[in-house]
Amino acid sequence: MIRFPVVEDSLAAVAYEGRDLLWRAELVIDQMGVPGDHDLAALMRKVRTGPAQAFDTLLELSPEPMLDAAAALRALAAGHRDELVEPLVRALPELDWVGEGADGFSMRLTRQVSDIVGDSEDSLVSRLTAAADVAASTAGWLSRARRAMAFVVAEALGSREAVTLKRCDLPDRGVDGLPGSGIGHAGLADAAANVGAAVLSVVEEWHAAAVDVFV
Amino acid sequence: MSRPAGADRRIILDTDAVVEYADRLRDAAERLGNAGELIRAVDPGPRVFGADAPGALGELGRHLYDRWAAALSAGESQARRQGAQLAGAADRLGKLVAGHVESDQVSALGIREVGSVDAGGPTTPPDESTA
Repeated sequence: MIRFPVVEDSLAAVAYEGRDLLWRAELVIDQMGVPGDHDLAALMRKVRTGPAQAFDTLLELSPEPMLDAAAALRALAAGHRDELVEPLVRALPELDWVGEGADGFSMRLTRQVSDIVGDSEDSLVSRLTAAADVAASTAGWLSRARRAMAFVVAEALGSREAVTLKRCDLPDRGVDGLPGSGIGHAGLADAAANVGAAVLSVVEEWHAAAVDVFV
Repeated sequence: MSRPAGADRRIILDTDAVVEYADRLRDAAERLGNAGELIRAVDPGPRVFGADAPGALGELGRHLYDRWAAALSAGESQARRQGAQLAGAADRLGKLVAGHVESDQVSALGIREVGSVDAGGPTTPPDESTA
């Protein structure tokens, strides 16, 4: 059973701008800390990464190899059933072998065949199919987490916090606020924390969904 | 026509169809036995599951990969085991076909009734209790 059907996601479309924004936010958080009582602190304890790292993790992971693995495993299982075992079962009566010995052989072979292609969850084909479901479910979960991340990052990119963080030329000037802009330490820290919390909330939500289903 | 006592004790089962069937069983057994390599080849590796990622996502990725790898490993072992079982079935048929097995040995193999040594009608299967 596939627990998370795969969906399209547009994370790649916000990759460049999203990384820039989130690394700015993470740098501010690293250097200035989290404003008191902000949700971000608890989220960072749960997720145990900064928002940019979490974004990069989801960006770098792709559902495709998992889906390919699941498809290959299903093809292997189907091949065992359709090309290997079932022709043997169909051909057995054609031997024109009758009597107790034939019955005994047939019964024993039928048991062996059932162990390979039967409906029981212990059969080989069932095991391979279950393994394929694990990969396909993981791929589906990942696609949904990536889609949720794409939405929240797209929203963050259009936010006032993004404007604040973008105006701060972090790599060259550090995070001393923006002189003359009216944006000081507190404004920067709040902007970074808000963006970081929005992103990590998505990560925390999808992590919890995976734990519920997979762990 | 009744068979002389003991005349039906030798196994005769050398039809082309049975030989061919035993070969097919053997081929299926070999393919199943080799399926482990194919199953292993399907594995895209732990990085695809995020097993090397930092934090909670990495921890989850390691768990998911371990679960997946365990499922593959179970399938691999089972394919090998069931391949061996099919090979055993092929061997049993092969022994019958070769006609080298006396009826009591055949009984021990769990396979009896094998056709006729004369034109007098069906053979009497060896005693099941010897199986």
